[in-house]
Amino acid sequence: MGSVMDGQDDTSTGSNAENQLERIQADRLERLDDVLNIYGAQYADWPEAVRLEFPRDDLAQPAFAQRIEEERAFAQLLNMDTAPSPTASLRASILASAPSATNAKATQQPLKRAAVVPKSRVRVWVETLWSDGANLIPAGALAASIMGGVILGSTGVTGNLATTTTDPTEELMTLAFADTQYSGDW
Amino acid sequence: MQDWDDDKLLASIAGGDEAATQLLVDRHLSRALALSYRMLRDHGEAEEVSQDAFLRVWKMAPKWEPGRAKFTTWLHRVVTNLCIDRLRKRRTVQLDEDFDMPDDSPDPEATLVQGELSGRVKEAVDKLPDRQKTAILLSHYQGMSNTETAEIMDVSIEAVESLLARGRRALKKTLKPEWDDIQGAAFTT
Repeated sequence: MGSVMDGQDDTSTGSNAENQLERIQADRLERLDDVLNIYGAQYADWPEAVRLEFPRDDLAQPAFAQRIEEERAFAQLLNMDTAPSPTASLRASILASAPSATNAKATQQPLKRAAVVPKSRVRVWVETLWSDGANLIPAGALAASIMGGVILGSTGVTGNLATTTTDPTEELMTLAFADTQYSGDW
Repeated sequence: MQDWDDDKLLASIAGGDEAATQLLVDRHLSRALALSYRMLRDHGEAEEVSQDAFLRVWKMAPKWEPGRAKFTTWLHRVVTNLCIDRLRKRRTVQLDEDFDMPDDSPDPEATLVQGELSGRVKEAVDKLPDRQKTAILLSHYQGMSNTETAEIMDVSIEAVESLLARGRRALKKTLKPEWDDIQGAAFTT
């Protein structure tokens, strides 16, 4: 009687162990599903800790290998959502917007750029009137300053001119960019 | 120059080197355009975003500090944010003007052109909640690591993992018939 009971115990212990193994396997498969959902099917993309959890040898088991194949098929399916390639005109317009060697130098050395100051309206006006008389400009400037002095003196404007003088660098920068930045104000 | 890393290219671009500029554009434009297209599903807008992103690259190049950040991650972040801005504006305009909610069904013409299966995949991806979709786009389509995806999306790695897991599960559910078909086809060939 006792021996029969012992036999039954062996059987139930055996099936318990099998159930436990099955449960462990089911848990591992569930964990593998999570891993595949987070990291995808590329083993190389998995973090070190996850690779230790699932060594390559384990993944060769049919149930695991099947899951990985399914994930690869899923990745293949996702790749059917294609995107357009850049057109030549898009590439060209992006390249055209890039800083050229000249622009880059100018940006890095603003004073040099400022040296190429666009002609002021007054100067353009003077040159239009005096196209062949560039050497007379200093004489003209002297005459204009004398006239300016006379006018200021006669109208009684005696403010301190020194206070209105701005930093020359700043002035050059303002002049250099005036036509491009503040065209709306003119 | 072909083997130059992005940091080196950016330094040359700041000095106005045209060859470096071309190389950087050729290296990154395709991916920038692909990401913006998949986020916006509008070719014209995707091109505008790519242009805008590269304008920011040119502005940033002289200030770029090598080794401080990875250029690819920075560019993806710029593109992602530009797309998010546009998506927000689209939604505001639609709500403000009392338009109907966006039609979730795929554009029939596009479906015809792209093929039925790719149209269904596109539709499924677009139906994902925004953050899940962005995580899937960056991770699967752009090949970014989860750490990079987290940096681009400005969330924790754990959050990215959760978004990816939920996103992939939802896609697998939606695309179950197509997924079965593709596996069946693989076994029969």
